[in-house]
Amino acid sequence: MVKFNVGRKSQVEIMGLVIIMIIISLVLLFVVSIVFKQSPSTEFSEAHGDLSSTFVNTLLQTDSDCIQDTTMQDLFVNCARSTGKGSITCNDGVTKSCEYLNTTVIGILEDTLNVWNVDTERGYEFIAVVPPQKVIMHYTAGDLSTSMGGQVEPFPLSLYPSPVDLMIYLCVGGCGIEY
Amino acid sequence: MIIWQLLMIVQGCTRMNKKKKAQIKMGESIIILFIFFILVVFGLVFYASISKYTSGRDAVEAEEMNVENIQKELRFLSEIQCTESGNTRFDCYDIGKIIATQEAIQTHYDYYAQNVFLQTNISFIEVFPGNEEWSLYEPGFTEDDMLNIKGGSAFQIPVTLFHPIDDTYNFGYVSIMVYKYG
Repeated sequence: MVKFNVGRKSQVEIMGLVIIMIIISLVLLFVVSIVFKQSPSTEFSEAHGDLSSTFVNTLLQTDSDCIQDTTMQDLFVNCARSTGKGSITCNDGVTKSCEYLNTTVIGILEDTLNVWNVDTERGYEFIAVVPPQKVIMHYTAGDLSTSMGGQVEPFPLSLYPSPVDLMIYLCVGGCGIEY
Repeated sequence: MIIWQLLMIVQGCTRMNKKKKAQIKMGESIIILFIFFILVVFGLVFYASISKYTSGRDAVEAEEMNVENIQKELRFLSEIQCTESGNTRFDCYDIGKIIATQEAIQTHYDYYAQNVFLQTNISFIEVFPGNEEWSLYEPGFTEDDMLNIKGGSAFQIPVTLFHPIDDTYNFGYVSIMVYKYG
């Protein structure tokens, strides 16, 4: 009877220790997850959201050398409005607005975001689309492992009188959108 | 005689039992001490890694704050901003004004070094259609400074660069280099 009681007591003590260990490890896991994970991701999305908006705004304001007095925004709108490769023909007499945009924008992306290692660090995606189907441009670089899951804000360009807008997305880490 | 011998055997057994118990207790305390030290070491390692991580993050935050301040200074630096009929164009810099400001900075170096740009390197780089670079400000490092610099991080912000001669708005970026001291 005495032996049985002693064995039970030790079992209860061991159970107590196990419970304490489980509680301590849970607390540690909680602390580690808060300290190491949450803050960098919010900082990351804020910093790259700012970069995306500045980048697209600057890109749209840039003068193209396709034809005189035409900005990239004008070419995007022309490409989105017209069927085929665009109604504006560049000074070389061959290149249409859509082709010009594809070559030039990809060149600018490669000379900036790739040089700043955005492609190797998180990857990025540039999309210009007229919903629901017309894709003007879709360019990706790097590994798009961290999709932003539809939280990205597009840059709408009016295609008046058409009721739909041209949407331009630049997402660091991937847009996570379907069109 | 036989009783005496039995008594001696019982006494010996009790002594042996006591010795064994003491050994077991010693073993227990050694194990407890061992586990305690393992926990202490684990705690120290955990604390060190957290403090290293937070100090690294603080340094990055301070660096970003520094860059943000410089960026604000640049955005509202009327010497280099683009203007159209008196209106300022946001995130746009006039190349003609940048070249003129380079000279002004050389003349009033102390003012710009202490109040505006501090210990940063600022340059404007054109990406499209040309590929040119204009350095606006370079900190004048002494030999001691050079020895203490541990490295630096460059931050890039896309901007429009206005060419007043061609009257064109080109794509470029401003590179802000922040130095780290040892």
